[in-house]
Amino acid sequence: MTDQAIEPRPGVTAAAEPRGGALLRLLRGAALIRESPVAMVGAGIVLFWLLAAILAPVLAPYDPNAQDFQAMGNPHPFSPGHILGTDHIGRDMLSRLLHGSATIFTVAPVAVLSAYFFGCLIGMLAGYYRGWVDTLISRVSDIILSFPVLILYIILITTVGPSAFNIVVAVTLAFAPGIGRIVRGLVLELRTNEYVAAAQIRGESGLYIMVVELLPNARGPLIVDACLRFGYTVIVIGVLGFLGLGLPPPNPDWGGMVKDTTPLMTIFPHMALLPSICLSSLVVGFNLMADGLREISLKD
Amino acid sequence: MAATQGNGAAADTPVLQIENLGISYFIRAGEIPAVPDFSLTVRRGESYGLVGESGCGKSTVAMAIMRYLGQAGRIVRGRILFEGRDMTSLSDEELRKIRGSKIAMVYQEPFSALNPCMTVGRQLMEVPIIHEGVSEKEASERALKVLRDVHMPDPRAVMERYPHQISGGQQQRVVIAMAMLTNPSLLLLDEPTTALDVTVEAAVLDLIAELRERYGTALLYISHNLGVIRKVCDRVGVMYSGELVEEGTIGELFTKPRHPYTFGLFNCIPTIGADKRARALTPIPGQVSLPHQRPKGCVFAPRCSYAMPGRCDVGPIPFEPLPDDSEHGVRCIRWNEIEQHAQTGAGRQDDGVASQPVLTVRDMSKFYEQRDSSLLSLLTGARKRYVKANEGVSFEALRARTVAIVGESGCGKSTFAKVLTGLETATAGTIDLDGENIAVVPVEKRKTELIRALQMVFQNPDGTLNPSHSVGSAIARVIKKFGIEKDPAKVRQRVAEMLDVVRLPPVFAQRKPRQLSGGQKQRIAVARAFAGKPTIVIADEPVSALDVSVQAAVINLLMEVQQQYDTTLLFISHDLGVVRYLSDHIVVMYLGMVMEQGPAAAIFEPPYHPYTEALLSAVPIADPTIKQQRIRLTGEMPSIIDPPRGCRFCTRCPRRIGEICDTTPPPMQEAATGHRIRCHIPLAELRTFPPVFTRAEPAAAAE
Repeated sequence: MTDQAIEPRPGVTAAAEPRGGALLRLLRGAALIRESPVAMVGAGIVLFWLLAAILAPVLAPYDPNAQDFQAMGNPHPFSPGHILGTDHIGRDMLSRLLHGSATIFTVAPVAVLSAYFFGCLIGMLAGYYRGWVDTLISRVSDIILSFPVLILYIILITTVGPSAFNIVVAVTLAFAPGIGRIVRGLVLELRTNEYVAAAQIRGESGLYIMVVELLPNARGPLIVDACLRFGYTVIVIGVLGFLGLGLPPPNPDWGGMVKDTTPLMTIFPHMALLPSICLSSLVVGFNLMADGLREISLKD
Repeated sequence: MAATQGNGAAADTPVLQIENLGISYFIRAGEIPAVPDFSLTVRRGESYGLVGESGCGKSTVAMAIMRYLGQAGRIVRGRILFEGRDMTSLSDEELRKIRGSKIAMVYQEPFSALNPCMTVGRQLMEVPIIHEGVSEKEASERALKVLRDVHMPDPRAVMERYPHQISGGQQQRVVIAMAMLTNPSLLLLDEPTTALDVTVEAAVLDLIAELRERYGTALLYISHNLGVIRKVCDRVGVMYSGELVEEGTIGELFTKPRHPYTFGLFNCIPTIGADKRARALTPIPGQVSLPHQRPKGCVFAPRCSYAMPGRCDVGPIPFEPLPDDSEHGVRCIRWNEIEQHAQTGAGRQDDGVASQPVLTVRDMSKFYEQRDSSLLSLLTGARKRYVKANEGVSFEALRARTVAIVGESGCGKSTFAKVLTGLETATAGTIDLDGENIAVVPVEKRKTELIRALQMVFQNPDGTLNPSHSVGSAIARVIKKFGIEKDPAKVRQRVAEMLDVVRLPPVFAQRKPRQLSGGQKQRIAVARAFAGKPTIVIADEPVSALDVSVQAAVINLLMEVQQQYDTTLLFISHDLGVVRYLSDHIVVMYLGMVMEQGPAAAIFEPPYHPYTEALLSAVPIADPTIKQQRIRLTGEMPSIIDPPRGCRFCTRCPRRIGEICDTTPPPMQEAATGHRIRCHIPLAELRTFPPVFTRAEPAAAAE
């Protein structure tokens, strides 16, 4: 055995040694997105709305709930003082749209994270322990998944009442079984790896193996799926708002804005159209990002 | 015989002539010259072996012959003449007519070469129907005939089966049958037996040789195993980093290798004839250089101990035939200045101290319960059946010694490892480790001290390390878990020490597994296993996935670390060469039972158990000075759910003595102290069997 035997694999230089803090590594991971133009466009749209949401209090020219009775005579866009016009009761559209995005960006991440927490939990339990745990979790998941999602939401929200917290609960309940299935599948595949056997032989606990050995290796497909689910959650929040099950008025809520103004569609189309466009653009943004990320993950 | 096949070409035209072939892959980063300049001639009816380690371009050449390089690969220069026609200039339509009909290919993995949702018969029939437009009936007859030719038992029934319903060896026979159906003039075999068990491998190699005789087909046999090449080929080419570095007849090249790489390869394979005390394995240092980083001049120079700066690294080295032998050529400018070093490397010496047993296994059995849900079992009430994965396993392992457990897949060696590590618990019997019976204690209930004492090295270098964790944290976890060190700084220092033990620099602690080569990963796995200072390390095929040159380094390392820590090594393997080299005591298993066990040297000499004898005679051996008996097993290993009532081996035993073998379990007979054979044949008779290995006449070996 000479010194040459210990040379790093050619192509891997010592300088490329990945080091640094968690934040730096996250940024380095995020930089991968540049490899896919599709993902870049998606991320651009999402970033745009994220900034809008964060800066809403600064950017919005009016309070989202302030009524301008004078503008009610001329609610059209590009009217003086209201660049995107006003809605049916004289509230500034631009301000409401900006604050509406803030609503989305507070509810959607919490809902998705909570769905992922429970989804990963049940998926890992089912996939790692198999047996009756798996059977129980899978069958209960099947039952939840067999409900038409919309009906599930309506039943839930109408029983407990509309609120941001209840939307999170509803989304978690609807998404967690699906996420659980994905995680279970990934875990079933990963647990056959010898590093899992090595951990078992080391006497590691099930929790340690699931969280430390298995979950990090499932992250690739899960990040892509999470992007898609962000998009779905945006839709769900929109739909619930449209059905009157979203945030209670007068909170600015894109779905609610569409609901309130659809009867006026023929006269003042901008009132329903603008929030609809915002909603779809954000969903498209998330979907493009998911597509692009999948493309990148398949490359290596 | 070949000439009468009438392939339309003159009898003296070589079947395949590759001239100055250059193959490049074009990827985002640019052109990767996988094969810079490669020439080769396969004559009519000849069997040509191509040897080399992974990444040297063997398979790329095979794919290029078929013009099947995929999107990124392209032939950038040179010609491939198949029966005088240049393959590089043929249209897709013409290629289709040649592929699968004039040139056939057999791949490494038989299961992925067959379509899982078509019956074997249908897949075979497709070939003549597509290539020759014959009728269904004729195709079916031909399929049946070729299945008989490959000695498929009950060919008519096999025709109706799906690939998953037949064994791996049978699948490979089907793939070979499919290749032979159109009577090709060239058969490309890419590691066709690597995925098979050793006795099955021997049978498939015999079959290939027999078919070649009968059909007069020329073979291009690609393998990394010199022993296999020696068995089936007439001439051999040694490939390194996309170039042919040496070529010659089997007799010449195996007795008088000229290129430093070729004899480097010979020096690093363990042979049946010698163990660790007799000789040391010499690994080839370094790694194959990547295609785009090939050195100027000799490609092997960076790893060659004979390389001379100023001569070997200036310009391209020509491939020259030796003056006294036109068949033998070498790509080395110093070939006549150097001599192959005889294997004088000192072996390892025992400490000489009589060792104490650390592990005693007594009558250990592991049965898996299987619920039978068939209608018949409902009626008879026999709802439960047992898979007897291990039955009555007994042996002793001494401190700081190596015990090898040998057997083919399905023999229960992995189950044994699981029971030992506590992933499963034994059904009966005891396993005594330092005075404690651990057979029935699952890993969750074991004390940290006990868990620490028993660690494991796994087979697959890619699966053994968690890709999300750095090398350092993987080793550190073991150190912290077993309380060797607690303080973070001391843990870090200990990690660096362990890396040093396995000859890796401390910077490796920050690396992720994907940045390491297979051999390096396996070193880390060794470091991880030994980090907790274990009493016993179980190594489950730790080197079988590695290239031979790396294999030697890892074997040496294992022995060094073992000596340093006074650890007992349980070495599970099917490679008898490695086992002979490494182990002090050998346990031969078949269908969950120990057939024979004893000191390593005793296992390799009579008296043998008939199964051991068959196993030994199936090992492909690269050493031309050793002659080997030819004993072939017929039939398939019986299902472990329903093993034979008498001797487990009776269904395939070439030395079966009669009724008693089928009905009565054989006794363990003590041939010598510690050497036990489970067989009905009296010891006196077992002793009369001729040895499997004999040294060829010294005169013949020397010249």
